[in-house]
Amino acid sequence: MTIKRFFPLRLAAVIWTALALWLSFAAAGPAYAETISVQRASLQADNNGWSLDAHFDFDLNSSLEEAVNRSVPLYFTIDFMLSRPRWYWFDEEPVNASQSIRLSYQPLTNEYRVSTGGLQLRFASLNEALAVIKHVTSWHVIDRSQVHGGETYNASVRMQLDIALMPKPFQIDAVNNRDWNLSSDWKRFTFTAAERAK
Amino acid sequence: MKSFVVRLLVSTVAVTAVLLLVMLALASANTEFFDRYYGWLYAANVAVALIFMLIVISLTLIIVSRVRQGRFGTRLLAKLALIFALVGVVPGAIIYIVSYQFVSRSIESWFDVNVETALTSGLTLGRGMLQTSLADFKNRGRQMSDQLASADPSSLTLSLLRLRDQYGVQDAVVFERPRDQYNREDLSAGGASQRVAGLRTIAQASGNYYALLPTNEPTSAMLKESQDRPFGAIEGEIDGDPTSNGPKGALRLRVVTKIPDPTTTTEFQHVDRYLQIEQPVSQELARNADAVQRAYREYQEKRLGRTGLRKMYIGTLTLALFLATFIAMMLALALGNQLARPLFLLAQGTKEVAEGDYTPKREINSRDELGFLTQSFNAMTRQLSEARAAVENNRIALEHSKAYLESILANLTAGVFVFDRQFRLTTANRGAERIFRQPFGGLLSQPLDQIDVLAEFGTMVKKAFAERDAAAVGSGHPTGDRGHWQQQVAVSVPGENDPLTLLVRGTQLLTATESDAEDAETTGYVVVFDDISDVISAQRSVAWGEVARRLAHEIKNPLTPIQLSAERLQMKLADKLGPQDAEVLKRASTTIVNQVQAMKHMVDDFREYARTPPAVLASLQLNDLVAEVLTLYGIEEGKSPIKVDLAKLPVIRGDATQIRQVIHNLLQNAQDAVADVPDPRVLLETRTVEYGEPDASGHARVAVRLTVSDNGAGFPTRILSRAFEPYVTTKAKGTGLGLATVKKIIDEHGARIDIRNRSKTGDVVEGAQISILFLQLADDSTAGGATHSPAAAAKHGTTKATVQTRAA
Repeated sequence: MTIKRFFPLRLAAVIWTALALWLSFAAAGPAYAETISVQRASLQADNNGWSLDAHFDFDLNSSLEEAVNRSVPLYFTIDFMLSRPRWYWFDEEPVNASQSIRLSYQPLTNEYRVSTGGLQLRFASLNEALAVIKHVTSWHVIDRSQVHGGETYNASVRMQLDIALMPKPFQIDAVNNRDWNLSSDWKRFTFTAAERAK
Repeated sequence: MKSFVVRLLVSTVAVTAVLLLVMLALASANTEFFDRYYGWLYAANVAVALIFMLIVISLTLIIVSRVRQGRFGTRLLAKLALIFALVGVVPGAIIYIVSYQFVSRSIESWFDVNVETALTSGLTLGRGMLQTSLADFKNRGRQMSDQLASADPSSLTLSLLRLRDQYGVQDAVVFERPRDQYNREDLSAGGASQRVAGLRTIAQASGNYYALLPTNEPTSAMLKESQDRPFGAIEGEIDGDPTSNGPKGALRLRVVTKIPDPTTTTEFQHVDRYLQIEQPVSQELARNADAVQRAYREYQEKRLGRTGLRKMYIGTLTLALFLATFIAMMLALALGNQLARPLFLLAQGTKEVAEGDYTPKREINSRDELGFLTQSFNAMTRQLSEARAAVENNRIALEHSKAYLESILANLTAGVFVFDRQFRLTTANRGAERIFRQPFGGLLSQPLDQIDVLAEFGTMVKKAFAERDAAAVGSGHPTGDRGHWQQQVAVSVPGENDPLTLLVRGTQLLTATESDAEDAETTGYVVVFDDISDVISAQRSVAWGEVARRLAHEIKNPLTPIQLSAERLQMKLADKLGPQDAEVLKRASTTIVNQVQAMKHMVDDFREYARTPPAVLASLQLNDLVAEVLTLYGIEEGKSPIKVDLAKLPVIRGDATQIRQVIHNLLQNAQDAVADVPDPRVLLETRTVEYGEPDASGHARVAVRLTVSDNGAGFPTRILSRAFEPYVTTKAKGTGLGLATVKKIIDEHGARIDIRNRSKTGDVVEGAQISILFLQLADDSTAGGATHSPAAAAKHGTTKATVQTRAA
């Protein structure tokens, strides 16, 4: 009797709950549109460990391109993670590095700038600038001391448009605007640390 | 406990929500922290708002369900909550709507085509200015390189200094680079940041004397570009802080030109020389350009982000509305609860009072009207309780008195009938039932005529009331004061041979009060009657005693002369007559003397009965007396049918002579009764009997019982009720004075005598039994004589009193 009477209300409550959950998940993790593909990712030994070479591929959609051309800076973040499963405990994560690349346009000098860390590059065209961003070379991510020789690790790489570094209105807009969600899935590959650098 | 948890939860959520909202509001201040975590903050706020919504919805559901269940007081709570919620929500909603409109309109109004055009134009202007100065700078570079080409290589630095001053350039550097290095250049990625191999500074002229080494060498790309025409670039940070990167950060012009090969010599053919000149853009221009670009950028940011901005503002507003609504609803519920609680308590209390629970209810210790109301309610309940207790006490008292009156009525020896105006029986007490030997329980509210037993009684009663009425009307008595009537009537009762003699008094039952006795109305009739057959019997026995005394006196007087005369006749004439006549005379005179003697004896009996000497009470042991009497009956020989069973007895008070006669009479009677029985048995028992309530010391009062039973024919029913009257006898030869004398003696002693027929089953009579109960004991009369003797006297007195009543 009571159940029947309240059934519509219960349905409404369920819908509300589902809506709340969906919204909170959508707000927490905006990156589920695979719009950046990872073409190639590898680790190359260098003097003191290994550095990452990776090639990403993506196109800026019209909204983003317009934003860049209107001199709104975009931030791309590359995350690298090295992990090793352990049966007795959580996975070991010896390396967890990330790098932010800022892409901006200076209308006064009509040039595109790509800056990462202290380094700054100028380009006359957007495509040149993007080409630099898409290619990550010799990013020193692993120190020799951070890994055990001979062990096999899982390496993961991804790139995403980092909304969090952008002005607030964009962050809000990005919550439910697909144009502003640009990210890749984790590209995973195994990595075996050699006993000795070549 | 539950409410505490709920309160804790709600307050925690509320505090969190307020905190989050404050943070969201603060986030408009551009701090890095909020920039970084704005999304999370926003999401958290949304989540909290949803939680609020769920809580409010669930609360509403709870209230709705309670209302549907008809839970007591929920309707009021719901109403109060609704009112408060409306008070809270409606203004909030109005403000929200206005703000929503305002925000969405005003944000759009910020972005104006004119503003954008102006900014773009400014930007173009700045760019033009910069390009112009760059072109000018390129010209200067070309001229300088032309002149340097013809300058003497040995005095290159001097020439450079001179040219620098001449063209007003801040920094001028000449690099040389071997030509064969060209093909080995690696222009691939990353090369831009590395030094160009083989590049060498050969001359330098700087306005900045601290920078001795040129820190920014041209890249190979620049060198390559400057092969044919001068390469020019505007460098430095336009946006951002120009001083952050030192002198490099400032906005400046850079031109790289290839110094043409000198035509005079061929010495330098294997190297290329390049001139690089640098010049900061004028401070004012740089600042303005920077400002324009900055403004343009911010404008564009805002323009592109206006959707987000609107979302942000509206979201914040909506969240604020949610929060306000939630808080309003919580407050509404809390306030409603607060307001409704005393009412609940009152209503609950009313319910309990209605169910008869008068215990004090919990009071609200507030000083407002509600608290006053609860206190007043308690006071009222208290008074009600007291009033009710008083009523209850009165009722109990009334019931007690009624029960008391009823028990008096029930235990009254006299019979009482109450009739209504139509002479229907309404009340009959136990006395009436005893007298008429019939229960009246089933006959209540029957008309008097239809009760068989009371037929002749009823006729008499009606007639008596009618006569009384008639008399009253005639005499002009007031209606309420007709007094009572009294009549003696003989009524035959089933199971009795002789009609009962009843003394009947009747009176009207009036509703009269003292004040309006005139208007008193007859609501019924009360008839009180008593069985006075015993009194009549006593009257009869007294009358007989008087007759016997007089008759005895009259008869005894002539007896002695008759006897003396007969003896003289014999004495005088015995010698003078012949032997035969003498013999006749002797026989006749002897007969006369004997008969006179017998008659004398009989007259003495009568006189004895009529005038028994008063008993002289002394302490005596009944058992001794019994034993003494029994010796005359020859118990020892075993021939007698008499059996004796004597218990240990206390000493009683009595007249030994008279009690001896009592025992004698009873045994004689019993022996006579069993004379014709094949197996005669007579049993004489003495027993101690306790009676009455134990007194303070726990001793019941003690009496002595003497019982004589036989297995003879028993008493005929006719005799049984009148056995103690004189001249009532079953024996052919008895005077009928034996039991009458016994009764008289027993009365003198203040004892009780009972007579009955022993019967085992039904109506089969097995014999007669007479028992005497001696109530006066020796120790009683010595110790408590003062108390007991009057009681005995009173008992005696009642008998006397009845007799006197009769006599009157």
